[in-house]
Formats: sequence, structure tokens, C-alpha cells
Amino acid sequence: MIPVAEAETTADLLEVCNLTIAYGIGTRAVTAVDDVSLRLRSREILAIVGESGAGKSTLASGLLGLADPPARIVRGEVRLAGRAIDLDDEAAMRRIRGRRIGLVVQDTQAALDPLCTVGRHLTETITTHLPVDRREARARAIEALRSVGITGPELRLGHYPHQFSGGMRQRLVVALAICAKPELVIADEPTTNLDAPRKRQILDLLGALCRDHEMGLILVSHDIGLVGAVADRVMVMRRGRIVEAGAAGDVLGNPMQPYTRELIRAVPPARRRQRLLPRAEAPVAAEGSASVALAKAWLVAGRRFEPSGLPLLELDEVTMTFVLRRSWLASRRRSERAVDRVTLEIQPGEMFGLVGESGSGKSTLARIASGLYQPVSGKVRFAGADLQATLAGRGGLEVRRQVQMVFQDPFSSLDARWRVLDIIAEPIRLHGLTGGPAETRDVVRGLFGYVGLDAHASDRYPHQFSAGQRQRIALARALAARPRFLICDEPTSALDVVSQEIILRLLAALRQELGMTVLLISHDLAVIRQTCDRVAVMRAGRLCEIAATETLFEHPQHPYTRELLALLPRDLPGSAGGGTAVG
Amino acid sequence: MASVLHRSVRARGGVAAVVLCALVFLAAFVGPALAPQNPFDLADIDLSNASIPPAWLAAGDPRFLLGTDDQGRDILSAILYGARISLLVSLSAVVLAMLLGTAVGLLSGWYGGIVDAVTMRIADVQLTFPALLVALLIDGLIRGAIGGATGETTALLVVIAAIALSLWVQFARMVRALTMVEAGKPYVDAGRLIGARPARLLLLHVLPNIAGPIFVMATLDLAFAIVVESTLSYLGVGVSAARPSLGTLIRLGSDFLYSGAWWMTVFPGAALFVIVLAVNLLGDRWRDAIDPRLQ
Repeated sequence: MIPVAEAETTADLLEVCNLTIAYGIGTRAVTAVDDVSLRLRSREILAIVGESGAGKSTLASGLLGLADPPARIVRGEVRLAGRAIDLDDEAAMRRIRGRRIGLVVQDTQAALDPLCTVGRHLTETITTHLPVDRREARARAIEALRSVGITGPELRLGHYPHQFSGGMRQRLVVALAICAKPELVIADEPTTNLDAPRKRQILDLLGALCRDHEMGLILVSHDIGLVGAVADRVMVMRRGRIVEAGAAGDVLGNPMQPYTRELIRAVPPARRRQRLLPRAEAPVAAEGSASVALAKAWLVAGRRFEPSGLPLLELDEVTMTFVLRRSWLASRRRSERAVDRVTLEIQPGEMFGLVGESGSGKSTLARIASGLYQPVSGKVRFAGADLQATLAGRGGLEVRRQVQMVFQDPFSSLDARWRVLDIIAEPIRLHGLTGGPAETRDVVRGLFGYVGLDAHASDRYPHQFSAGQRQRIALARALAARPRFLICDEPTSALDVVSQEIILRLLAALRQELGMTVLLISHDLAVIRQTCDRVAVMRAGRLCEIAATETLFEHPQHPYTRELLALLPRDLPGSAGGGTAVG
Repeated sequence: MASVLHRSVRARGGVAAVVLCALVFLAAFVGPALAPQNPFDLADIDLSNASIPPAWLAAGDPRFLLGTDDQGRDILSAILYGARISLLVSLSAVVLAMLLGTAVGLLSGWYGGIVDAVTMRIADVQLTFPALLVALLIDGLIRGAIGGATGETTALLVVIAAIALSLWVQFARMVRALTMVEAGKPYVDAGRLIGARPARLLLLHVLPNIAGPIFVMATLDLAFAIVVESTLSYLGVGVSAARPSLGTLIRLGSDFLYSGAWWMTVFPGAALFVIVLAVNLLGDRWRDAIDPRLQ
């Protein structure tokens, strides 16, 4: 164990000694938090970073006394403002939670009751914890809303959570956490569901609140680049243990541990182009290399398409509307134009990026390009032929196979009732892409290896894999159809930076090794910059700008593009193969 | 299948559920061999043995462990024979209703539009009547159609059909809603993208994912089907009183509750309770066992 901080002379707000939290008991127990010690002073921000599964969230919920069975506190001591607290004492913890330790959660949809007004959320919390009357509680609720930057707080008290946007809802959750004036706030992935500009806003807000309200703040995140910018101290966790901890500048600027360097390097820089390395470091099991070669050969064999010189995909004035309200009366009908007269072409072998905020119509466009949606007007041509007409015609199944997609949510994109082996084999079996069951089995094993997974795990079910591994399984399934065109809709936005890097490297390899045409959709400009040849910027259903990646980043033409670029965070010194920091 | 059974046993309380269910079904199937008397055989019944209380009471008779009814029938034997009929009718009816309702629900949830509109309006209309009334109506219609002279087997089939047709709506409604939710998930889209046809997507992807709630509803409906069957029998449109089902026994016995002969209705009632409990428990474990996430 590495000491987190030397003994301080001033009293610590939070002191955690040798905390160990395990899931399950006996031989099947898994230690999620292993002998972790940390100290936090008031007005200090501690960032806890690590991959998913590092034990960050278990630690956070453990500190709140929310480590419910099967999780249990094995040992360890926690002192809040000098007094020991018993994490297993539910009655005592109930008085501490909300009152002395506030919590900011990731999933704002689930954290707010859709049937309660914002005012009720706040006043209920305040009157539960503080000896104040309703009038005073209301005044404090207004103050809390104002302090998180929600305009017109008096009016907003009467609104319901669904009347707020995602970024605003995250502010509400922050307001809820601080409204009873706690000494400590724990924020568990507070920005993960937000797009880049809003991420930064929430973090700045948390930092300012922490200083103004004399609170300590623990910021749990997988994004080391993002939290590094606001935190005073950083603690890196891996497999339940502390890898490295120290002042933010030291850990990020001069990491001592190889793992920390790896984490930092995985953050793609947004301010410069740093072509991803070929898949040299992708975790392919050495013994599986023969089957990987087989899978690769199989994939290449399926890629004999006539070079036509034509664009692979053409969208011509494509428009898509969704009906919001049906009515016999034209005046009462409501519809929303998700994609508005979009025209673009994607060349064979190209990696084409599509950026935009959430709600800009990117995913709708992806579904149109894949043929899942039929546009209201406009033409979609795939390999020179009208996509919808081909799909409906005799050769439909063949074209269907040539366009595959990787979805954003790694949890719902795999059938939970199927073994991953069968999930990946399904397109092969359906289209008879191999000589027989024996070859299918070999190819599936090879595909497993190709995406860097252990083929021995192929008879497991999806829920037994992490988010990053599931996304690789989804990619392997798409590859199993031997596609010509791969659409990736936010493939990495649910993943931590390490898993993200693996996926991005895989995409780069697909293009290099197989000449795959890829449409990559993301709200993360850094990801787009590191991978794509050309980029389209989308806003409110319309295309703002299409340009070669470097041209777009260096000389943006459209005001909206400039606005997006201005919000980019500073790059970390050692990120994505920045030369010196390669461990 | 063997592994599902194995996992059912391994689930918490699974052993109890499986054992209880096995006992109930065993008792029903080999019942005639165990029963001291054949309650359907009039030669076996002696009116002078009528209304004897259970054997352990003062006026009891060791030949009739659970006492006799007003006709002199041994209650234990009647239960063993009656459980067969109850289980046969309710199981067949629920399986039929489940198949029909699931098929309709899958199709209307998947295709929407006119298919959905037509089937769901039929379902709505049927839902406005109590299931019992619908069963009664269908029973009458079928009997009217096939003519008055019906044998025992035909009567049984008519009751099964009537109950099934009164229960399918619940399955259809629920399966439709679940299908609509599942159909919007990316894994189904991924299936569409590899060119899988609707039949494949529905049967191999959607159906396994919504099987849990269907099984739970089926086990709950099984209890309801037993009650519906007994009510129909009581009203004289179900199986005949000469070959009483459990429900019929309860109904017949309930007339004598006030005259102090409680055993005539309490023991068949207890048997019904055990059957329903066993089936519900097993359904619950089964649902958990087929879900790989819960292992």
C-alpha cells in the first residue's frame, strides 16, 4: 500500500484507514476495495480514477454506508471530522447521508422522482435533515438552485425533472446533494452521461461549490484527463487497490507507476493529431494467434468487392421526421424533424466521422445509413444502388449483410439469453459464410482473439463481461457478417479510456488490414480527430460542415464548429503516445 | 432441459418447490392406485357411510381417513381423483391460453398497425366481460354448435377450450407490451442488420427474453383456471358432478359447512392450496433458472 498523504497538521475532514470491501463470502468472495486508505481536507478535491471494475464506485458507496449485501465491509475505519463512523450502522448512516455527506450520482433519470417537483425534492431533503420550517426550506431550496446556476429558481421549483435537459438535471442532482450543507460531497461519475462542453461545466461548478461552501469533494471518474484539470489530488485505483496517489500535478505530470502512464496515454488528445498506433499492443493471446490469422484470412476472403470508383454510401437530401402526436386535425399534429436535408458521400475505405451534441440527429442518420429507418424524403444509395429498394428486392439479404452496426449501449446490444459464442456465430450461420460447423467454430474463436478476448470465455453469457469487453463482442458480431461498411454509433461513450483505446485501435486496424469503410459517430471530438479521415459536424438535424479532419480542426469554417472547438479541454502532457511518456 | 431442471433445483427453495410439485403430480397421476375407494363407481359407495367425520375424531371411521361426504364418498379418494381432473383441465387450458396469447401478443407487438389494432380491439372487448362470464358464454356456444349429446371427453374438451379462450387476453396484452419494449432494443436491431427474419427474431431473441413474466403469469393463471373450472362445474356446465373435480368438491362440500361437516370442503380446499402453491413456487424457480443473468 502506498501512503496517500503524510500526516497533516490540520484536522482531516475524512480519514479512511485500510478499508476493505468484498462481495460474497468464503472462497467465492471478490475483494472490490482492498486495503484503501485516504485523507481529505475541507475545500479539497480528491479525484479517484481508474477503469471500470477498479472498485471506485464500491468505495464511494461504501463511504456512504450503502455497501449493501452481497457487498460487505471486511475491515477498516472511517473518521468524519475526527469522529469514527460505523458504516454498518444503518440508523446512524441515515443521519449522516444527505446531512453530512452529499451524493451526486451518474444516472440523473433514476435519481430524480419523475412525479415530484424539483421544489419537493429539495425541501423534503432540507426539512429531513435541518430543523427549519417550510418557508425557510423553500428559501434554502431557491438558494441551492441559484448556487448551481439554474436561472429563475423561484419558477423552476414548480417544475418536474423531465422539464430539464440532461445537463440541467445533473445540476439539480448537485443542488440536491448540497442543499443540506454537507461537509463532504461524493460525486460518482457525475459527467459520464453528458457531452463534452457540459462535462466541463459540471466539473467547474462542483469545484467552485466545494471552495465556496467549505466542503470536501471526492470525484469518482474513469476520465483521468477531465478530472485531472479540477482536482487537487488524484488517486489511481486498479482492481481495488491504490496504484498511485498524490497531488494532481505530480500524478498527471510525472506519473510514477506504469499503469498511471497507461491511463494517461489512453486519453486521446483533442488539440493535435496523433495517429493511433497499429494494433501492436492490442491484448491478443499469443497461443490464439493461429486462429486469429485464420479469422483474418476469412475476413479478407469475404472482402472481394468490385472497385467501382463510386462512393460507397451516398445520402442525397435525406430527411427524417418522427410523429410526436397524431391527429385528424392538421393543426394539432406534431412532428419533429430529426434529420433535415442531409447530403453526404462516404468513399470506400474511408473512416468518416460524424460529430454533434446529443439530440443532433446523429443516431437517426446512422439508422438511415444502415437501412433500419426509411427516410421520409431523399435518397440513400449504397454501392450505387438505392438502399431501400435493394433491401426489399431479391439481393436484399446480401446487402443487409454488407452493412453492420455497433451500438452505443453495450448492455442492451447483446441478447442476454444467448452465449456470446452463439451471438457471434449467428450471422455466419444465417448466411452460411463458412464451410461447416467446424469452420464456424474456428472462425468464431479467431474473431474472439482478433478483438482481443480470450476464446476460452466464448461459452459465457454477455452479463459476465465488462462494458468494454461487451463492446468488443458487439464488434466481433458485426465482423462475423463480413461487412463492407461498418457504422459505429458512439461505440466508446459508455466505456472507460482504456477500453476506448482498445476499440479505437481495433477500428484503425480494421481499416488498415481489411480496408473497411467506417462511419464513426461520436460527440467526442478527440476520438474523431484521432481516427477519422473526414468529419461532418451536425447540429439540430442539419449538417454544418464537412471537411478533412485536419482542415476542420485547424480551419473551422462554420461558427458552430468553432464554438465546439473552443470548448475542448487542454491535452494532458503524456496522452496518446505523446512521445516521452510511453511506458 | 435437464440443466434447467438442475438449475431449478439449485435456486433458493428450489428443492422444496420441485419436490412439492413432484408429489402433487405424482399423487394426481397414480391417485387411483392409492385411493382406498373409487368415488366414480357407484357400487363402491354406500349411503350408510354418509357424512362421517375424519378418522381421528370421535365419530370417525378408520376406513375413511378424511371422512366422507353426504353421499358416503371417501373424501381422500375424491380428492385424489378430483385433482387429476382439475390439473388436467387447468393445465391444458393455461398452456392453450399461453400459446394463443403469446402468439397474438408477439405478432401485434411486433407488427403494430392493423394487426395490432384488430387483435387488441378484440382483446379489449373481451376484457370488458369477467373471464368467468366469457368462459360460460364460450362453453354455451360450443355446446350449442356441437349439439346436446356430449360424452365425458367432449365435455372436458369444451371446458378446456372455454377457459383457454377466456384467459388468452391477459397473455396477449402482456406479451404485446413486452415485445414492443424488446423490439426497440439494439440487440434486436443487430439481428435485423444481419438479415434475420421476423420469425427468427421473435422466436429466438424476443421470446426467450420475455419468457420470465409469461411463466409467472401462467402459474398464477393455473390457480385461476382451477377456480374457473370449479365454478363452471358448479353451475352445471363443466365436468359432471358424478366425476367431481377439486373445485366441484369444494362447492358441493361448502353446502354442508353450516351443518358442521367442515371436512367436506376444507380438505379439498387444502389440496387445491397445496397444488397452487407448488405450481407457483416451481414457476418462480423456473423463471430464475432460465435466466442466465441470475446464475
